[in-house]
Amino acid sequence: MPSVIPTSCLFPSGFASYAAQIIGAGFWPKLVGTLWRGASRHFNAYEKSFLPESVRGQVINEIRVQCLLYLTVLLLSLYYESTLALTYWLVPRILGEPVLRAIRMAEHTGTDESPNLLSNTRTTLTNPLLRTLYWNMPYHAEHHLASSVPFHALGRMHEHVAPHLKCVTRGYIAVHRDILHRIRNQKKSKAEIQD
Amino acid sequence: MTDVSAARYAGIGGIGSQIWPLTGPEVVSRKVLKGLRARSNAPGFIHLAIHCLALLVTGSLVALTAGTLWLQVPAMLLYGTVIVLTFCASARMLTRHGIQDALDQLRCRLRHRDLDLSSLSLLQVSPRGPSYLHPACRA
Repeated sequence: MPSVIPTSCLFPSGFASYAAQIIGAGFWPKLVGTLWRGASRHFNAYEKSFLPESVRGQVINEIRVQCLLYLTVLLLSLYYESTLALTYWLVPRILGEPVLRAIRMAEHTGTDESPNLLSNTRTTLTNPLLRTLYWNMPYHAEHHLASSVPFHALGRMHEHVAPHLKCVTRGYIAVHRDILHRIRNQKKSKAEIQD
Repeated sequence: MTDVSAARYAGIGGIGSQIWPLTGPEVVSRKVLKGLRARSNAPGFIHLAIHCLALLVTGSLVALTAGTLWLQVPAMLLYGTVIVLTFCASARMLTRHGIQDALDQLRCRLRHRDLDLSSLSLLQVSPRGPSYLHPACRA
């Protein structure tokens, strides 16, 4: 059985670590590393732990095709001296990453670090526009509770499970206000211990 | 802690178990859950259309603001946000057999078992191997 404990929920140790998580300081190097290891057939121990040998060839091929496509875009851009790919893809993609990081942090950061699915994932109640563009994933606790429930039924599922969920927050700003508040308290209690 | 013992530690029997909290009468009955699991392509197509429209609209804003940096950067932020939100565009979208079989050719079998629009993943600049850990992959 796969792990039931979300892995991406480490609580920031301070404001600097919070900022690093928001800008995706760990995300981009990890991304390049994953592409490199996949393309060069050198998976690390962690990747080997969840990629059975029978599928590694397929993953390697996919990553190689993906890299080849990116290389093609790069070469075409250089050849035609075009900034199209930068303007309409890469720069917006990089600018948008902190928004995704902030949303993703809201899913697990600061929730229980236990296998209890009712308390280790947060559902964020947000506006219909964001909910639509994020394919109902703000109902994240529901998504983790029953991954076989399709995205369009998560809202209906929320009505059933809401009374049992331990982490439901109204809006992403409230989530981050709470996380920042807890970092401040964490720092305060550390300072008191040192005194 | 192994996965199974972690689940036991939390008092959860595991997927399909009688004491899995979701399938117990105390949270969601098996009958209700069965209803919630019903699949349909229509919402997937509607969401896909909305997402493409949002890409088009915000992308047009980037084009319209070209030459005025202080307007183009916020437009890019908006457009970039729509791009990164494709992150979940693969979550159980199109599911009926015929379409699913056809789209199986397009997607990585390791990820969500319904549909992963490869082109959206490419847009995301995101390799897909690690998503093997994602809960939707193992349904």
